[in-house]
Formats: sequence, structure tokens, C-alpha cells
Amino acid sequence: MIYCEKPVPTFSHHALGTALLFGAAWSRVSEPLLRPALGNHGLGFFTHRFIMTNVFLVMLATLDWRTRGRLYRATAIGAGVIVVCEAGVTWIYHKDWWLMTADAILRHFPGP
Amino acid sequence: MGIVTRSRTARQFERDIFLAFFALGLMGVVLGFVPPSWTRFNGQAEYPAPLALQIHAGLFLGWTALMAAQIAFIRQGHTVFHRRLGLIGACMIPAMAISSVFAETWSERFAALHHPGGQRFLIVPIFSLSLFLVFTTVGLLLRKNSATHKRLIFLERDAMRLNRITL
Repeated sequence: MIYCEKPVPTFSHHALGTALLFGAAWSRVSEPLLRPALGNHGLGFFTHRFIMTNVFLVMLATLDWRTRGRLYRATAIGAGVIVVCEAGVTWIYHKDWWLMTADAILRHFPGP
Repeated sequence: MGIVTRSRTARQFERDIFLAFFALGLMGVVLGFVPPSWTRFNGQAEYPAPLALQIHAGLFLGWTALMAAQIAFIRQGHTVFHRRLGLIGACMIPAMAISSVFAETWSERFAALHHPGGQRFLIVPIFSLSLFLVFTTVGLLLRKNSATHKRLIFLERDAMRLNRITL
């Protein structure tokens, strides 16, 4: 028996093209929107990063769904790892112990 | 016996999307790096770039060019060239990782001197570099599974793209 995937409908191209444009626009628009409200490297910075990451992950998931009907394992695990890491970075960044740890690490490297 | 074939339309669609992802990433590089690079070339940078930072910039620019060539080779059906160039890419990864460590720590030490507390940002490149190493290494190990390979390389691009998002 031969299984053939159904042809990809044209509107998928349009949907993904729209998502690409949205990602590009968001990357430029969210910066001036979030920065004055939440401060440099504050939650605005991390919100911006988080949304930008997820726009691309959603696009990859959409691609999987359109071409295969479900997520590839690599997409599911990889996207999960990136999202967890982003949340971890945001949490660690705001901890006082991290400032001391960063100082300790940087002392071992050359610099000004 | 079941034979699974993928329609040409679906395969072409997937390739178009990966090309679009790459184009968007390239746009991020241009928007993120051209203004500070322009400032640096005009001699108005906050600090002179150490050798590690220059090597780091050169290698990552080369990596972006390599990605463009790899996508072009696959789209044209030149898988042999794609595999050969992939070997060069694999050799670049350790150099990129080492140069990143020294370039980022140099920059964070500068930040610590001039913007106290700015060294907190070190956690961002630590995670980005870790994700870069994980996704590229696993992606290369699983290169025979093309769908998984290209998704892992895409995820690497996504993780590294985060490093360019700095307000």
C-alpha cells in the first residue's frame, strides 16, 4: 500500500508568510513598547525575548502540523528545552546570588 | 509492505519555509549587528574589540554564510556538497564555542566596570551557547534523518537568535 501526503494547501503559505511578517514586525515594535514601561533588562526585556522565541517555535510547530499532521519529536523536545531555558534565564538573572556567581566566574577570565 | 512517499509540494513547501526562517534570521543579524558594527568601524565604540571578539564575530558571520550555502545546496539538490560543507561546519563549532566564552566574558567584565550589575547578563550567553552546542551536536549526529537534522539546526538558529535580542 502506498501512502501519500495530501498536497499542502496554498493558504498554508499565506499563513506562514503572515506569521513571518508578524515576527519581523513584533521584533521591532515590541522593543520601544516594552522598554520604557518595564526598564532596561527588566521584565520587558525578557518578555520581548520570550515572545520572539515562541513566535518562531509556533511557526516550526505549524510547519510540522502542515507537512506531517503532528509534531516531530525534535520539535517537541527542542521547543520544550528552549522555553524552559528562557524561563530559567529570567529567574536566575534576577537573583542576588547570580550577581556574586557572575563576578566569581568573570574573575577567571581576561578583560578590562 | 508500506511505502511512505512525500508529495513534491509538501517537500518544496518545507524547503520554502526553512528558507524563509533563514531569511528572517538574517534580517535579525542585519538589524541587530549592523548599527553597533557601524559605530565600531567609525571609531565610536565603547571599547576596542579584543582579538577574541574579532574572531567570535568572524566565525559567527562565517556560520551564517555557511547556513545560506547549505540551504542553497539542498534546494539545488547538491547533497554531496552539502555534506562536505557540513564537515567544515562541524570543525567550526568548537572554535565558535571557545571564542564565544572569551568574547562574552570580556564584554561582561567591561559591563561590570562601567554599568555595575551589568554582569548579570552573563547568564544569557551561557544559556544561548549551551543550547547552540546541544542542538548543533545532536543535529550533526542525527544528520541521516533529514527532517530531524534540519529541525535541530533551525532550533539552534532560534536559540542563537535570542542572543541578538538585546534592548
